[in-house]
Amino acid sequence: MELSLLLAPLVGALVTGLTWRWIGEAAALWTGAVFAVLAALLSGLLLFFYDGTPDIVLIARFIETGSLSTDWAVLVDGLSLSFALLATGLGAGVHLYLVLGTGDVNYRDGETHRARSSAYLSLLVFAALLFFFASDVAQLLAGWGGIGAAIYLLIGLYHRKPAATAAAIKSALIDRIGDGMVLLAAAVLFVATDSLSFDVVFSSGASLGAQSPFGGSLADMAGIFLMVAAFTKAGQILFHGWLIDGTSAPATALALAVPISIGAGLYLVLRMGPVAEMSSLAPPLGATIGVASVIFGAAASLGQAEIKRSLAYGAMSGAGALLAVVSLAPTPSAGPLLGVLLGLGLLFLVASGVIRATGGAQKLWHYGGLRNVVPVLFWGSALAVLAYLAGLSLLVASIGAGSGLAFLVYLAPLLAGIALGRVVLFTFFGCPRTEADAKGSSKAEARGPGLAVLPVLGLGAGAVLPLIWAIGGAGVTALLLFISALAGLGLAWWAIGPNIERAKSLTASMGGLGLWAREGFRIDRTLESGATGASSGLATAFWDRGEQRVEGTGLGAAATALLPTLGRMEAGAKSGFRLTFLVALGLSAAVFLVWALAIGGGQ
Amino acid sequence: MDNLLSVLIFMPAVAALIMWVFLEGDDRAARQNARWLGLIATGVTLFAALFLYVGFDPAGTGPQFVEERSRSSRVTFYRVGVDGISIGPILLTALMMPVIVAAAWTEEHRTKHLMIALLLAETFLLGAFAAQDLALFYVFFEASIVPVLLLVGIWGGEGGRLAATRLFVSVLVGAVLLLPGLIILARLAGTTELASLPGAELASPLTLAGADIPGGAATLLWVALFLAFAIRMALWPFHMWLPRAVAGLPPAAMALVLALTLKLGAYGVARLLLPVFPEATALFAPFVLLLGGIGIAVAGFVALRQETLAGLFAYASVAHMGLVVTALFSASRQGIDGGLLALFAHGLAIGGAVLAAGAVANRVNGRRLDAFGGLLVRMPAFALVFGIFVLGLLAMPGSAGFVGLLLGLIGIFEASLPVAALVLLGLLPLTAALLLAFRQIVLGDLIKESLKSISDLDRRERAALTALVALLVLFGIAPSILLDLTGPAVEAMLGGTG
Repeated sequence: MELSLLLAPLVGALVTGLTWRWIGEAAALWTGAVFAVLAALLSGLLLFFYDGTPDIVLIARFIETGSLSTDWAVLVDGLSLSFALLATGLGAGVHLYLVLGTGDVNYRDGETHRARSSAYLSLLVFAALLFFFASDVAQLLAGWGGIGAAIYLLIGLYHRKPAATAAAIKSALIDRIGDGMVLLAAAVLFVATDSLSFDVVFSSGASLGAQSPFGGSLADMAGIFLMVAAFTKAGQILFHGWLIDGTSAPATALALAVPISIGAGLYLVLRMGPVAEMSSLAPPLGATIGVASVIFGAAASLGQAEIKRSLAYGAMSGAGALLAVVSLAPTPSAGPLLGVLLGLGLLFLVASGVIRATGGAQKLWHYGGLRNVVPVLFWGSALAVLAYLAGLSLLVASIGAGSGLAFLVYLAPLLAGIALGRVVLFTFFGCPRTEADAKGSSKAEARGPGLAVLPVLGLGAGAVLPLIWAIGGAGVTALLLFISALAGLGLAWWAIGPNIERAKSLTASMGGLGLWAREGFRIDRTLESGATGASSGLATAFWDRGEQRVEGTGLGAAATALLPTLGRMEAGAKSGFRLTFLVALGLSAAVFLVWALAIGGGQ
Repeated sequence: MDNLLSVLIFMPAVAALIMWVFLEGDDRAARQNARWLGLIATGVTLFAALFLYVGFDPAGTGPQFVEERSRSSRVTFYRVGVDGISIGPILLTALMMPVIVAAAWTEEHRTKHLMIALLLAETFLLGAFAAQDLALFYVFFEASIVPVLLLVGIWGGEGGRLAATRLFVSVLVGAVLLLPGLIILARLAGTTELASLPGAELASPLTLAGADIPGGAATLLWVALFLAFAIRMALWPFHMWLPRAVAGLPPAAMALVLALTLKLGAYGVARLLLPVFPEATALFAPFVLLLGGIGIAVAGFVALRQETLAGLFAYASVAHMGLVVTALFSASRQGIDGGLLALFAHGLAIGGAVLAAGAVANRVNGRRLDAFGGLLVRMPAFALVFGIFVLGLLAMPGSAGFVGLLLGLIGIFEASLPVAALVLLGLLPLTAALLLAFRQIVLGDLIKESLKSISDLDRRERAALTALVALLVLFGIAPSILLDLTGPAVEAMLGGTG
């Protein structure tokens, strides 16, 4: 069953991606959806029948060289099964949304991307399963890189849209940094423990505690590398460019890509938790960057005009809180974690429905009053927000109040409430915007994708109720945090309310601050211009002032000078005599060389 | 089969000889005969290589399928065999050549001579990889550049003659260093048999300007051989001949140079420098590691500025050779295994990328990157395979390069953390360069008139490129197919050297 679960999305991806031109888009979409639902069912069954005893199902040998031995395998334990259920469940939901609805608004009329989108989504689920089920660092790395590659494809789905293809490259580059960090961590772990197997690595505390050549322990080195890798996938500050620019992709793609990517970053920290626990530097680093991302992401989200960018910054903020939680309390319960990620995915799906319902409008100012036009989207967003806030409150409550950082993390539910509340209020309350009508949307058109969200909403409802129930039993802290999150929603209501004009005047009164927030406090642009400027400068230095300049010197110059002489020799050789002479000379030289060397061997 | 290896080595040369002697004229029939003969010869060679693979004993550390021809009891002039170090390059050559010949199918300019050059190149490469004698290795090593010189000079386009001259001067410098180096090595070791060289006593004190040179003559020998191999593998900064040499080549010839010929230099490092000169290798390893690391970064940044397909692929290869040599000089089991696998993976990926892009370039007669754009719409099959090869060059999981990078990096890390970090940093600009090129060629709007009626890959191209994709993925998910064969030899090399 484990192997079937692992391979189902891969088969779906291959069949959909390779055959859709022949079998047609609808058949391809259904194929992808069937395999996605199959994977979700298998995943659910495995989790349901899991008896609490971890097991490793070997599939095949992977790398075997010297003392290094790794396998393709399925590690079955509570953590891997929970995350597998997230990936397959959300994957199935997004596939059903694609196949039942009309999908995203096309970048250009007449273009269809749904079949390729379905194939890439299945590929992402497969890579995620490979990652979550890894029993050693080699497979972990393979899945990690696979997730990055699938996200590159999804972000670049609108292949004619320059912003999308540029964002895809940015995503690949940031992902490459993460790959490098996991590679370095793998190298540290192997050098320290002579193995990449989790069992061996986690039981080699003494080896990992050894001093590294750069100060600190080897566990510190590995822990820091892993933490930085997690930052890249979780879109944390300094590494968040892919998440923000990635909003050029259709919202359906983001509905799976964002939760899985953030989930992968968190899973890496959780799975490699024993290594991080041995490190005194990695957890504080994770918590610090996480807290910085909480505040930065939430503040920037408030300044965004577009729904997807607003959600992306919100996701960055939420991921920061989760990262801080898993850094400070490395054994959080999986339920709330999955609730937050599921809520995030649902919010992007709702965004897809909203964009479709408004004829492609992306800006929050163009929305309003959609609660009555497409109520299913409104209730979907409500469930998603509740799941998100309840899960976040539960998780944040689990870290305790041991440090100043923990106190700052406590702000996360409140900030999330404000940021998400702002999006929901702008979208579903107030008066219907005339711009939407001008774009040709109608109730009937809007209901198409709205209805398609229904199966997905079932997932959200399934997550919300236990989470809210759990808050009741989790103690006063969780309850207060959840109340603070609801207060955030209330604050957003107070500031924006159903009155879009008041919201607009509030935004206007923020003036430069609002614009500053919209641009991500210039951090995004500074990072981008710094990276492109540095690489462009180095490329110019090495090419224009390096290769190009020295090309005409040394051997190059000698060759250029020799060319006329060789030309004359060639002309002479064609006369016959010289050719015979040259061939004879060459053969003699070869015979002499062979003789000279062979005699050496004989002696 | 006693002569399997000789059949493998000389089958292409025999076919080339038949072509030269019996195929006359340059009409359509003659061209077609030359193509088919080339394909059959490389196909038979591949078949022989598969026999070799099946019969190869993975546990053996010494040469297998050994064949010797002696003129007298004292002089052995022909000794070939296969061991764990050479099996990879031999398989790669045998696997790539039918695809390369198939890619040359549409070449109309002196087709017969092109096929002869390709077939001779295969024989010389296989001979160099299989040689178990220094003299034979030298002869095949230097001979292998002759077909390349012809390819560059005749089929290299406008700048072909100058490029050939530059290549000639470069290899001449390498040959001038290699030949005396090998002769002195043979004299010091008292044997030309490659299998007997590791462990041979090479200590010969040497004084230069009154100062003793550490390691004596062996140190100078190491330097001479390293420079010769570095030039041949286009290791930065000895790579200047490569971009111009491949600039005007037809895709098949470019694939031969980038996917196979470069490998000979790296093979020389693994065959001679590492096992025969352990002390000198240890002495120079930090320098080579740094050179390789810097080379990856510099080549990656330079690749960003390339405006042609050839420039891009050439500098991507220079960067990869940096990775290979850095991994090899890590002198660890994982590093050397990773280096050999990366060598193999690069051959498949760069070969596939060159042939796929070349198929499109031939259709529009354009070689600049800006001659393309938006091909995904008209050429989805090309977009798919080209994308896979680009990801393969970036060592994405699922490709053989991924395992090579992982193992290589473990080895490099053991040798030097800063170099490992430099290698990973250097891969960033290369990633950007390749993905930007992919975007330029495949993505975006299809604007250019010349591309609006372009046809997708035909059946022959699809078959050839799909085979390479399958191999790239196969060795990515089951790298033990190769690692099992190389492992014992690498282990013996490390054990023998210390």
